[in-house]
Amino acid sequence: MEEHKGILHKVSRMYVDNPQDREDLQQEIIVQLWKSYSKYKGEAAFSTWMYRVAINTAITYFKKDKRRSDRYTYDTASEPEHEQYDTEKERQLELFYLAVQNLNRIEKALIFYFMEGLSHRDTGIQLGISEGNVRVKLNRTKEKLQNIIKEIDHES
Amino acid sequence: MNLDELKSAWHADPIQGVHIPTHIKHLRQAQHPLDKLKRNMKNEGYMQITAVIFMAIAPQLFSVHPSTYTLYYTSYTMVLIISIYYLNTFRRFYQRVSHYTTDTKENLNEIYYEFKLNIERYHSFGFLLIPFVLVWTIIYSYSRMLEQGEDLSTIPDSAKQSLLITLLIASSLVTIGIIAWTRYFYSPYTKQIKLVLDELKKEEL
Repeated sequence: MEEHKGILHKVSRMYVDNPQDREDLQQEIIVQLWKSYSKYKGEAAFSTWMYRVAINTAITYFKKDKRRSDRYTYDTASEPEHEQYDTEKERQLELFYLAVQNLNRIEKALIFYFMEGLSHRDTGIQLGISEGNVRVKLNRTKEKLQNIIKEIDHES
Repeated sequence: MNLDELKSAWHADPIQGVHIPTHIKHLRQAQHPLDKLKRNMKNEGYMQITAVIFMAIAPQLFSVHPSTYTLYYTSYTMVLIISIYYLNTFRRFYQRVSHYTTDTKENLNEIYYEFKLNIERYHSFGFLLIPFVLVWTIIYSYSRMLEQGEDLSTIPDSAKQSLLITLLIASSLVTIGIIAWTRYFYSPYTKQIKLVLDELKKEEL
């Protein structure tokens, strides 16, 4: 798990915008990974199995507290955590994470798997939908994300 | 922004603030709604066992007239059988391993239908208790009347009607209360899950 803790970092960053809730989600995923470990048969790579538990937990983890939403509009979004960026890529990544907050839970999962480099087929297996459906949904989601990014970039 | 080109930054993003406990005892209690539902059900199961034991000796504790014992224990036996059935169902649900290792659609389906099923279980079990509560109310009232040298034949018809109306209103309120309780505590979550599930099922081809 230690080796793949980047998955926890990325999933929680995509699904939750504030650090406190992010920590909560990370801990919840860890608990669910421990609980589910007996189910891991070693048929797939550990990272593939971990993707599934992490994404399934993040998608179904609704908090009762309405004051903290998993989605927020970029109109009210706070400034990214780092004000100075070492590189243009880092700035873009901050912008990307900010824009992702406006996607729904399934769209976030699609983008996560895309960024991790999973094929349409493997993403379909993870989500339980067809490869063709992944292709269409992913293209639409990428288009939506690009529009959000443009809008945020334009406003800042 | 070119997302394909961003992948290198995505993979190189430094991991901040991820603390993995080294021992299982350092893990916190699961906060997932499904885990919370299971914990609630476990606690309610213990309360139910206590209530069933208490109900077995209630006639003696509340000085119910011995002539009503047959009626009381007949209805109690029915409640006991139903309780055993429900407790066993709850136990099986609680023990059923519900992990998050299946694909996302199956996982959402499972959580959604488990919640719906358990909401219905709450409803039906609550509704089944109403007749027993009515029997108890009548037996208890009748025993108090006997103590005062009265019986059902001495009550005026108007009082009987008032009693019946009161019982009907009370039963309706209990029914509404049970439904409102599940709606408040569980329905918001099932609605959220259903929205995500519908989004995933939506065919875009």
